Amino acid sequence: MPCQSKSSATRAAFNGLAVRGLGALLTATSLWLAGCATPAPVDQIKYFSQAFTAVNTVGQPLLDDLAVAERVQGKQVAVRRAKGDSTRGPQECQMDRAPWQLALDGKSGIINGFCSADAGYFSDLGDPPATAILRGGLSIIERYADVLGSLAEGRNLEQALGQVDALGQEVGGLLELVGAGSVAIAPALTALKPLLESAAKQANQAEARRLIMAGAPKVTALIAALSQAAPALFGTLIEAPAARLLRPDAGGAVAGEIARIDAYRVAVSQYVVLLDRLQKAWDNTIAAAASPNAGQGRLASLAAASAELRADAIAVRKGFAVLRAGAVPTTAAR
Amino acid sequence: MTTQSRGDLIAAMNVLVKRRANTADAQEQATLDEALDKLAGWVQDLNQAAMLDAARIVALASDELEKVVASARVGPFDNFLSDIHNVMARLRSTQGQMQPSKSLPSEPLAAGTKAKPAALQPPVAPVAPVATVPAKRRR
Repeated sequence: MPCQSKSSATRAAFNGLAVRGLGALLTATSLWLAGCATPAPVDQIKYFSQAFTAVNTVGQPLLDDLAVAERVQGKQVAVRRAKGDSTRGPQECQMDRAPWQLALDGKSGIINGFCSADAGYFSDLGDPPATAILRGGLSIIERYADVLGSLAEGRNLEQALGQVDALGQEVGGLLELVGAGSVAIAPALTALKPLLESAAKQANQAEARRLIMAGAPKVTALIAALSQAAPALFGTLIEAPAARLLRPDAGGAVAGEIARIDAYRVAVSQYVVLLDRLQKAWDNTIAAAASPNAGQGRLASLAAASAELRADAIAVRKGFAVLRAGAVPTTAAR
Repeated sequence: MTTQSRGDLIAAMNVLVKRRANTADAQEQATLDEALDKLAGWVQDLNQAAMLDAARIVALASDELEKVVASARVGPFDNFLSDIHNVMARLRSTQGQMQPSKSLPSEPLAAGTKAKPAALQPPVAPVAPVATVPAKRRR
């Protein structure tokens, strides 16, 4: 070996660095253990996650229907705009640039122009614009709840410990390369594993609590925005059946259209009620994260509420199955 | 959408629907149908505006929460691993400092000794490591 004459000095240098590395590990571990002893509100996070699942159970099929309704709405507005009956939309889409051109029969026709802003209504790729945003709102809450759940339940521990193992092997390999193999990194890390696991749990819980406090007002604002969108969502959902009520040839279809609108009212109401419960679950989570010792007495009621949520989710799924089948019961006497 | 304008439009539609139900005049019915169609169109405009307004508010709130999610440190050892990687970098740096020792300057020659000219050396097999050693150190 060409460096044989310097190997003892090098080994000493490596040993020093390696020991300092392990020292850093132990120091960091001790700091975590000392500073992050406050537990994350695991049960509250689970309940929040369940509450979200319930919202999503009613929200996703509603958004599927909304996508269809919003497309129809967007196309009809585009036609009316081309005919000069509406001025909605950007300048490039107005009648002077995209006018209605009649066919020879004098009834049918086309929009003779292209409006990029309407692409989301005419394309059947993905959701139309507003639906996509509402679905995105639910999706970000889902991801947030998933991150919190992963941290609180330690679903990331195995991977994290694996990274430490890999690092140990890397350090060991490097030391061996220069003949400084006397520093046994792998056994040291194995001995440290329980401590590392404990430190990882503490770090997870501290991060979960930090994320809860950072997300507290933002989750509340998003839930409120989704809830406030309900009237517009309902208005768009019932637009087509409400218009069909006015058709001269509606006849016997009127009762069915009314039943459909009633079913949508029930579904959107359930969505709003479940969003409200999601907010309450979130309030619980924030309170437990802010004062961990105060929430212990509430765990029993939390378990009961969880059971209620599961039952609600089942009821909501059944309600939607009925709506899909078209056998919708009327809720108001007529 | 203003709730009032939507309400006014639907109230107007209700008046027309009642009138239509009470007339047998086909021409009046056609006129009323046309008016109803126009009013329904305006309601549709308001619905679309309301939908897009609501979506805009949701989008703003979503962006804010997205930032929080993006800030999540999902690896509990991320900071620690970063510290250790710094130590590793220093280890590698130390290892790198060893490499120049392969081509350290030669030790001074002992007094009175003369280096043989390279051209007078006996031919040797071209073994790479040996070839890098200065001729004077060969034995």
